[in-house]
Formats: sequence, structure tokens, C-alpha cells
Amino acid sequence: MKTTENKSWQERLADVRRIKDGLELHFSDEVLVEQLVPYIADEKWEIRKVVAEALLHIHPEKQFRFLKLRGDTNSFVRNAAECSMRRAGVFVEETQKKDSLNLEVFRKIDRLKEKGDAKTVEEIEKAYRKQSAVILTSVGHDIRNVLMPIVSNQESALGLLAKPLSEESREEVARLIGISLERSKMMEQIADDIRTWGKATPATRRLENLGDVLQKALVIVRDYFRSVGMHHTDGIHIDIAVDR
Amino acid sequence: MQQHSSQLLREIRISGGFLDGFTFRFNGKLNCIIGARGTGKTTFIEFIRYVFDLMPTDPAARKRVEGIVAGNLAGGRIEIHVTSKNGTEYIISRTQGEQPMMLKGDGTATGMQYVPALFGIDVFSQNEVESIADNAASQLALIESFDREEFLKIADAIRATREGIRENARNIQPVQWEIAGLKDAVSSLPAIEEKLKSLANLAGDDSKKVTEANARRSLREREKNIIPGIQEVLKTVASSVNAIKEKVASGSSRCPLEEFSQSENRKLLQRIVELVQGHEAAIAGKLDEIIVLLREEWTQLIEMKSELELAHQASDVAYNKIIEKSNADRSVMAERIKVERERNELLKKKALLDEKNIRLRQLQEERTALLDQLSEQLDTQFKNRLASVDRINAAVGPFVKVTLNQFGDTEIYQNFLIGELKGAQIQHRQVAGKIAGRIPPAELIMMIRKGAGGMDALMYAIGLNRNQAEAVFAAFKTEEKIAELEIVELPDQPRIELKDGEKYKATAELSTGQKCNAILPILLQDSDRPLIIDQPEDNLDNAFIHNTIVKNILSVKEHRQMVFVTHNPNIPVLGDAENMMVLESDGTCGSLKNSGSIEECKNDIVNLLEGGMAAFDKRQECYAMIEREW
Repeated sequence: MKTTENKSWQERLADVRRIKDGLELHFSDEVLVEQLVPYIADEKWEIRKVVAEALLHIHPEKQFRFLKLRGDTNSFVRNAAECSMRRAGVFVEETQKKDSLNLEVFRKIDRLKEKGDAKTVEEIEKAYRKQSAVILTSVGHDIRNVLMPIVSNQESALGLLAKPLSEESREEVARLIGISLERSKMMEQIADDIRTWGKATPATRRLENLGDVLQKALVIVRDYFRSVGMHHTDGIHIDIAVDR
Repeated sequence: MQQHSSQLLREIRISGGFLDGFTFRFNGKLNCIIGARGTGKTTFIEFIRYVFDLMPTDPAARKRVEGIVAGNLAGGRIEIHVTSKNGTEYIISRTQGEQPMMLKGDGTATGMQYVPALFGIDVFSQNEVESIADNAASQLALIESFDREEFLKIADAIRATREGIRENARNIQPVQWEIAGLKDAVSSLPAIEEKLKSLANLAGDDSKKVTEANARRSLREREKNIIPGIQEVLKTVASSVNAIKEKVASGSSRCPLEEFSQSENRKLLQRIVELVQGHEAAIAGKLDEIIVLLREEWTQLIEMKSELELAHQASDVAYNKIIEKSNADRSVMAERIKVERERNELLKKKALLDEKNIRLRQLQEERTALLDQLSEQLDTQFKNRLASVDRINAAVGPFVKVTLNQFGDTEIYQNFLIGELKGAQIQHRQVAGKIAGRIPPAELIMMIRKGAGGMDALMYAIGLNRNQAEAVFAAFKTEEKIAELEIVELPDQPRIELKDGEKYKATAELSTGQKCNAILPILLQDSDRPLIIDQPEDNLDNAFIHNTIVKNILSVKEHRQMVFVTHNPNIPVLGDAENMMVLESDGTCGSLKNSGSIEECKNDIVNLLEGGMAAFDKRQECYAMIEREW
């Protein structure tokens, strides 16, 4: 088998791209991060640039080993590292919130373990972890999709405003702000949607039928508990008020 | 710095013009030229530059040098005796308006044509040193000057690869067009095959027999194309061979002896013509042999064609009998024959399409290999430059710091993108700026070739909107445009910084004097190339001249020849110049007033550089007073 040292640079480039793709799917995966490390000092800048781009998918706390790339001798590598690190930092706050929420959930699960059947609780915990990962990934993806054009439009608008405005530029600024406004409203909508997950759905919000979805989920959870011989009277209270 | 066997300027002789009759022997170490204003010191330096054809790249500076040469050489000639690195003696000689001539040390012909790369000299006119600080290309040239030959080789290789990529793109484009046309035509083949099948089913009761007969007939139709196809190839080959024959025959016509009947080289020219004519006859003979072979093949093919036609006729007669006996619908049969012909035509096109696809794949593989090669060559160039930067830093640090940023100068790339995006209804300058800073050309091309997926990647990578990304993709539709993008230049960006207190300052932030402080120590490093500077002391304080310039001169002059025009006594005296040249002028002509060691020229040094003995004594008196006060 070929090692990194005796592979051609085209082969190494393909390898590092595969690692980057893996990190895109499994944020900050430790095994993948370890695989990426040897390429930080690769002699080909094309390879180092892919490493720099992959930083976007690595938690900022694990990025210190890659700091060298910010002072790379190649301008594209350096710019990519700076940009990835800046962007990755934007998501830190969200991650911290998610962590504190997880802590609360796990505390509740621990309480559940004390009272209920340990195997079942373990399965519930597993299912929860998987489900929350899927939800958070998709929410993160949605937010990023809405956010990206806002950032780029505002950067463009700022660029235009830095110079005296021609009629054409004024129109372009208005258009960019219009798009950003529309996107910002979408962000508000997403934020509202996320908030309503934990609350009763108002009667006016019929379009998503979120109430129906939650009612069905409740039934599934109850049925599952019953099938394993547990009832919500067994010390665990599961009930969600849903406005129809 | 590495030690080299150095190149040397031995002697200069000028005939004609302002410095007519001037002869000067250089020393292999430090040579200083002094004289009052207007005695021809700058002219002397620019003459050296002109002889070696080391003209500045900046058009204004070039014009200035040409003006000095035109005004002061007045049709005369300059000859410089040099010693090459391997110790061979040459004379480089040049008259105004002509190319430099390279002769042997004894003045006889070498048969070699002079090119500036043959003999490396670093010449800097007045104020040129500080201009290096403002120009990235000059700084790169400075970094490369310590291993010029190697860098020239790499630059040549890069140029050749870029040309190969351009040529490849020119070849790919027509193949792609042909493939698009053929694909369009061949796309109807499945429908035609289907139609043939359905016609076979309508053949009547004895359909199997008729179907077989038709299949054989179809094969015969295709067989008929084989020999004409081969004949076409033979015709093309024969025409190419004849064209080569004509070209070869034109060689001797380049030397019409009758025009040169009075030439002193007539005998040599006669030998040249005889040689060329002899070879022409030999090559023509070989080419005739090929033509004979082609003719033989042609004749045999014609015989075989008759044979095949005979066989086809016999089969056609049998075919007609089967068809006549069959109860199939005559109109169906006629339709079938027509459709079969169409299919045969399409099969021919399909074969051609396959051939073109193979050719395209070959060209694409060749392109990938060329691009990989270019990437590696650019990396080698950068690595070598970096090694040179390390050597410079080791010699001039920490006072001066040089760094190098690979592909850091994106101006050419950005301007290229601006040009291509102009006219698209987008903020093209802004889009070009975003791309140039973040997406290397090869990656942009990869995105373009990927299509929709690549467009999303571009939008996500630098935050473009769809409209902008579409405009970028539209700008690079053709292979030739893509090739231009592939070979767009992305120069490395040097950064020279000077330590000012505790901080390093880039050259752009420095005063004129500081710029010289940053550049001169780099110029004064060891090298095998003679160094010629017109007034290196300009804009410098005497403390810097003493502490840095003189120190550097003393450390490198054992290995590097230096020629300085100067008004500062510290350079020749403290630098312990081995050879002085004192110039004077009567207003119409400059001449050598004195030359030799410091001792031999000390009166001239005192008079010209110290302001005379009285001024010198007065200063000494003042300094002694200050010393006593201290």
C-alpha cells in the first residue's frame, strides 16, 4: 500500500479532498482531523489549500494545530485559512448553546435511568443523540443557506458605498438591501419556527401542521413505551400541549 | 553567500564621441570613478550598460539611456574586454544602433551571437537602487540575480509549457466542434436501427430469407466504402509528401550565388549550396521512394476494387432474385434499402465520432499533464526563490528582512478577469476582486468544467449571487478562453522590510534614504557578477555608508568586482579602492585625468571629494575641537 510519502501529489490531493468531504459530513470528526494533520506541511500548495478550506468543518478549539496555515507562503492557502477560521468562529456561539441544552437533556435522562428500565433508557438516549444530530445539521445547513447571500450582499453594498454613488450603483445597493431584507425576514421566520418547537403551536399556524406532527410523535413515543412495558404513569410524564 | 569563480571586466576602450580615445583597465576588486559634474562619469556607466545590452525594462529609463548613448557616442564604438566564469577571454563590442558583437580575446571572430544571458553584470543607474524598492518585478529580479542562470532556465521552461497549453487549446477547440456536429448527426442512429427492425418484420412470409439477404446487402454497401476511404488517406499522404519535397527543394534557393558573386565569402557560400543541394537530392530520393510505394498500393487497390465490385455484382444478382421471388411489399423493400443507406452513412459518422473522441481524450490527457508540469515548474521557481531569500536574510538580517508570498501579486489575474467580465450586467470589478483573492485559476476552471455543481461551489466559496456566478461561467465558454485563464500569470510577491527601531517597515512606508538602506545591503552581497552602481551614496547618511556599505564592500570585494561612480570619499578611501579613475572635461570632451591607487590619486580625492585641502584641514580642526570638548 502506498504511504503519503510515496504518493504523487495528485494522489495526495485526491486523498485530502476525500478527508475534507468526510469532515463536511462529520463535523470535527477526530479521526478525520488526525488524518488531515500531516498535510499541513505538504510541499504542494494546492493540497495545503484544501486543508485550509477543511478548517471550516473543524471546531475552533481543535484548530490550533492548523494555525500555521494562516502564515503560509502561498497567498491562496493563507486567505483560505483566514476565511475558514473566521467563518467557523461564527458557529461557535450556536454550538455552545447546543451544548448547554444537551447537558440539561442528559441530566433528565440520568434521572430517567434512576427510575426506569436502563436498557430502554439507553436506547432512547441513542435515538435522541442521532435525531438531534440530524436536526441540528439540517437546521445549520438551512441557516447557512439563508445567511450566505446576506453576508455577500452586504459586503457588496459596503463596497459600493465606499465610493461616490452613481445612479447604477444606487440601484444595485437598493437591490442588494432588498434581497438582504427578504433573507433577514426568512431568518426571523426560521428563528420563530425553532422557538415554536418547544411551545404550543398557535392555531393560526396551520400551514406546517406542526401540531399534527408533534401529536403523531407523541403517539409513537407512548406506543413505544407501552410496547416495552412502560407507562407514563411509571413516574415519567410525557405530555405536550398542542393548539389545534 | 556561496563563493563563485567570478566574471570580470578587464578593459574598456572607447573610440569616437565625448570619451573618444578613452582606455581604462579595471581591477578585479573595487574600482571608483570620480570627477566633477559633466566629466562623463554617468556616460561611462551607461556605455557599459549599452555594450552588454542590459537596457532597463522601463520605457522611460530605456529612452534616457539611449539618449545618453546617442548624444555621447556619436557613431563611435565601445569595446570591453571580459573574462568569463570559466576563464575564457572575450571582447564585447558595440556601435550605436547595432547589436553587440562577441569576439575572442585576440579580436578574432567567435561565430557566436551575443545574448545578455551570456555575461551577467548588475548595472544600476543613478537613483535606480531606490526604484527597486517600489517595484515588485525589480525585487524579484534582485532575488534571482544571485542564481540568474538557473532562474533563466526555469523561466524558459515555464514559457514553453504555457505555449504548449495554448497550442493544446487551439487543437482541442476544432475537435470539440466536430464532435458536437457528429454527435448531433449520430443521435438519430438508434431511431434508424429501430426503423430497420420494423421494416424487417414487414417482409412477408419468407421474411427470414429476405432479412438475411438484406443484411448481406447492407454489409456490401458498407464494403463499398472501404477502398475509397483508403484511397482518400493515400491521396492526403501523397500530397503531404509532395509538399515536404517542395519545401526541402526551396532550401538552396535561399542562397542565390549569382547575387553574391563579388562576395569575399563566395567559396564558403558555394560549399553551403553544394551541401544543401546534396541533401536536397538525397531527401527527394527518399521521398520519391515513398511516392512509388503509395502508387503501387493505389494500383493494387484499384485491381482489388474491381474484384470486389465483381463479387458485389454477383451477390446483387442473387439478391434481386430472392426479392423478386418473395411476396414482400415492393414499397417496403424500397424503403428498407433507403433506410439502410442512411444507417450506413450514420455508421461512418459514428466511426469518425469514436475516432474524434479518442483524439479529444488524448488532447485532454496531454493538457492535464501540461498543467501538472506548469504547477510543478512554478513551485520549483518559488522554491528556488525562497532559497535565495533565505540566503539573503542570513546575510542582511535582522537589519533587513525579505519575505516571499507565492502568487501574492494577483493584479494581472484580476485585470484579466475584469476584462472578461466587462459587459456582463454585474459589478464586474468587485466579482473579479473576490475571485482573484480567493480562487486560483485552476480551481475556477475546475468549477466551470463541473457545471451546475461548480457554480454552487463558487457561490458558496466567495459569496457570489447566482447572477454573478452565471456571468463568470458565461465568460469562459470556449477552450481558448479557458486556456488563457490557465496560463494567466500570478507572480510571486516579494516584501522587503527595514528594521526601524523595534518594528519592521515595508519599503512602501520608507523614505527614499531608508529605501536605499534596505536595498543596497542586498545588492552588495557576494556574487559572481560584477556590480556597477552610479552613486550608491545618494540619499544615504555617512554613518550608514561607513557602517554598512563600506563593511559590505570590504567583505565581498575579494570575490566580486565592483565599479562605483561616487562623490563620497568614504567609499574609495575606507573601502580601500584598488583602482581609481579620475575624469575631467574641457567642455567638449571628457578624458582620463589620473588613475591608479588611492595613494596615486589622493590629491584628486581631496580636491574633488573633500572640497580641497583647506576644507579638509578646517574640518579636521573642527573635529579635533569637538573631540577635546568630549
